[in-house]
Amino acid sequence: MSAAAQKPEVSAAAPVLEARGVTKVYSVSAGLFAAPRPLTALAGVDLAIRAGSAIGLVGESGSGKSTLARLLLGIEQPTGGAVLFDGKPLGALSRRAVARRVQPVFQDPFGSLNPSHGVAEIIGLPLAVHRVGDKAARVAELIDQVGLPRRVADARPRELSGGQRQRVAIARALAIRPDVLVCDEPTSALDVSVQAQILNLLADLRRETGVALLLISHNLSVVGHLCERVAILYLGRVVEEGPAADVLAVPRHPYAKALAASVLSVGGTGLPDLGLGQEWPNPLAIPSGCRFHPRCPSVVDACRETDPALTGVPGGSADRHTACLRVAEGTL
Amino acid sequence: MSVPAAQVRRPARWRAALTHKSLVIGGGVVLLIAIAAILAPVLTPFDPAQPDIANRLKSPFWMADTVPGHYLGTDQLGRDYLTRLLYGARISLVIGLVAVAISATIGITLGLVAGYFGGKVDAVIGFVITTRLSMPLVLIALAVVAIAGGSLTTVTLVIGLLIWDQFAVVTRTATQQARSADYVRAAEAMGCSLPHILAREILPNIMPAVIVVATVELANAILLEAALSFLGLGVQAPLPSWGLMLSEGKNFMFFDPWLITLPGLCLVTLTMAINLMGDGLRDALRSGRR
Repeated sequence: MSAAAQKPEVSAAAPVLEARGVTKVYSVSAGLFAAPRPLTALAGVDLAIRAGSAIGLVGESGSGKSTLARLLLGIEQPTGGAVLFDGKPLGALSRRAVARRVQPVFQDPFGSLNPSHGVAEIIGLPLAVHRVGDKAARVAELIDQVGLPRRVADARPRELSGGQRQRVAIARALAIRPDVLVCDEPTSALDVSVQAQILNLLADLRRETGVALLLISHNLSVVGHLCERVAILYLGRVVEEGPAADVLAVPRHPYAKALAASVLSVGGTGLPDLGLGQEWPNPLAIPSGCRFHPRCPSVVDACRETDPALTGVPGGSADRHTACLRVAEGTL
Repeated sequence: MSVPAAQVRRPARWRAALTHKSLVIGGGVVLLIAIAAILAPVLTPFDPAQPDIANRLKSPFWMADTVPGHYLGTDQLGRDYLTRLLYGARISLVIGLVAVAISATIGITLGLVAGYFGGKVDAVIGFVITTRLSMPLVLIALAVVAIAGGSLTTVTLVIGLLIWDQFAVVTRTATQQARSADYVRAAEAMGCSLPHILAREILPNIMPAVIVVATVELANAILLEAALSFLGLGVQAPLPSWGLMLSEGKNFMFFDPWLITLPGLCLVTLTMAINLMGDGLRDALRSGRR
C-alpha cells in the first residue's frame, strides 16, 4: 500500500486525453404526450489526462462520472464542448482509432465479460478486432501480467471469482496497449478483501506499461491511494480539483469536506453517508445559483443566486481550484 | 493435473441435459422419425408413387384382408401405405426445417436490429411485425398458390416467409436486455463492427430463447404444411405428404378409417415430440446457465 512513494514522475507535457468545457444533456421522456425533459449530466467539465498520469474522478451517483467516462471513450458524443485526443477532437478520429488509445474497465465484472465466450477469447478479442500481434502469445503474456494462472484461459467467466473476472477485464483493456485506461468504479462490485488487490494491480500495471489511468470512484480514499490528481464532480460540474494529497488532507469545498469526512466511516459497499441531509442531487432539476447550496452546511444568501466558477484557492497551491463563493472570498 | 476446465465440464453438461425427461423422450422420438425418413429407401422395397390396381385398399396387418408385404395396407391406388408414410416424414421434416431456417434468418435479423438500435428503427420494424401478424396465413397461401401454382418450393417459401414473427419478437426483447450489458459496451469501446457485436456478442447469449422458438415454429411449420396440403394448396399429388394423404383418405374414412388415422397419428406424434423436445430444451438451457 505504499503507492504514494512509488508514483512515477508525471510529465508536464500536453494532455493525451482532454475534456474541454464538455456538456452532455440527455432528453428524458416524461410520458407519451409530455415534452421530453432535459437531463443535464455534465455542465461544462474540464479534465486533462497526461501521459502516464493517474487522475481520480470522485462524486456521488448522478454526478455525471460515468457519462464523462462514456464521452472520453468516444461511445457517446458531447452536446457541447469537445473531447480532444492529442489536441485533435475525438469526433475527427475513427471509432477504431479511438479504441486503440482509450480502453474501459467497467464496474461490474459479472456484466462486462460475455458469458458465452471463454477467457482466452475475451482477452484476445481486441487483438483480433485490430489484427495486432501474435494472439496466443499476447493472451498468455496478459494473463501473466494481471496475475492470473494460465489455466484460466480455458475457463468461462462464470467459473471465475469476481476478482479474477476483473483481472480478465483489465487484461482485455490492456491487450492493444492503449494510452489511457478509463476505470469506472473498478472495485465497487468486488469484495472488500479483493478491492485492494485490484487497486494494487492497476498501480503496478501503470508503472510497468506507462498507461494513464482515469479512476472513477465515489470513494476518496481509493483515489488517494492510486492517483496524483483528483477532481470532484457534483451534478455535472467540477467543484474541486487539485493534487490528490492536498485535496485529501485539506479539502476546501464543503462537498469535498463531506466526502473526505465520510471516508473515515466504515462504508465499503454502499454510498458514503455524507451527513448532508436527504436532499438527493437531481440532474433533472438543478438548483439555481451554486448547485450544491441546498445541501451545503455553510450556505449564505449569495450562494442561492450566483453560480460559482472554478477559481484558484487563496492560500492553496497554484494547481488547485474550487468552485465555491465562500472559499474564493476567503471566508471558508 | 492440469486438465482444461472445458474438457471436464462438457460431458457433465450433456449428462445434466439427459436428466430432463421430456427432452430425452421428445428428442428420441424426433430422432427416430428422422432416421426412418432418411433410411426410407432401405426400409421399404416399394415406390411411394407406384400404383398397384390389383391391391387397392388392402388393410393393415392386424385386419382380415391384409396382403403380405404391405404391413400398413395400401391406399385407393394400391400404393404401399407404410412407404408413403415414411416418404411423407421426409417431406414434413424437410419443409419444416427449411421453412424454419428461412424464417429464423429473417426474424433474428430484424429482432437484433430492432432491439439493438431501438428508437425509430425499432418503431419501423415493430410496424413490419404488426403488419405480418395481421396477415392470415391460409389466405396468403391461397393467393400465392393461385398465382404461382402449388408445389413443394412454393409451400416451403410461403411458410418460411410468413412464420418469422415469433423469432423477431423474441429476439427483439432478448436483444433489448442484452444490449445494455457492459460486455456490449466493451465491444463498442473496442471498435468492434456492428455485425460482430450483433452476431458474436449478443446472439450467443440470446440463443436459448431462439432455440425454443425454433422448436415451436418447426412443429408449427409441419402442421401448416399438412393443413395447406390437405386444402390442396401445398404439396401436390403424387408426392406423399401426410396432409395430402389425410385429404385423399377422407373419402374412404367410413369404411377404411385407418387411411386417415395413420397419417393423423404420425402428425400428432411428430409435432408432440418436437414440442416436448422444445420444453425439455428450454428447461435444460435455463438450468445450464449459472
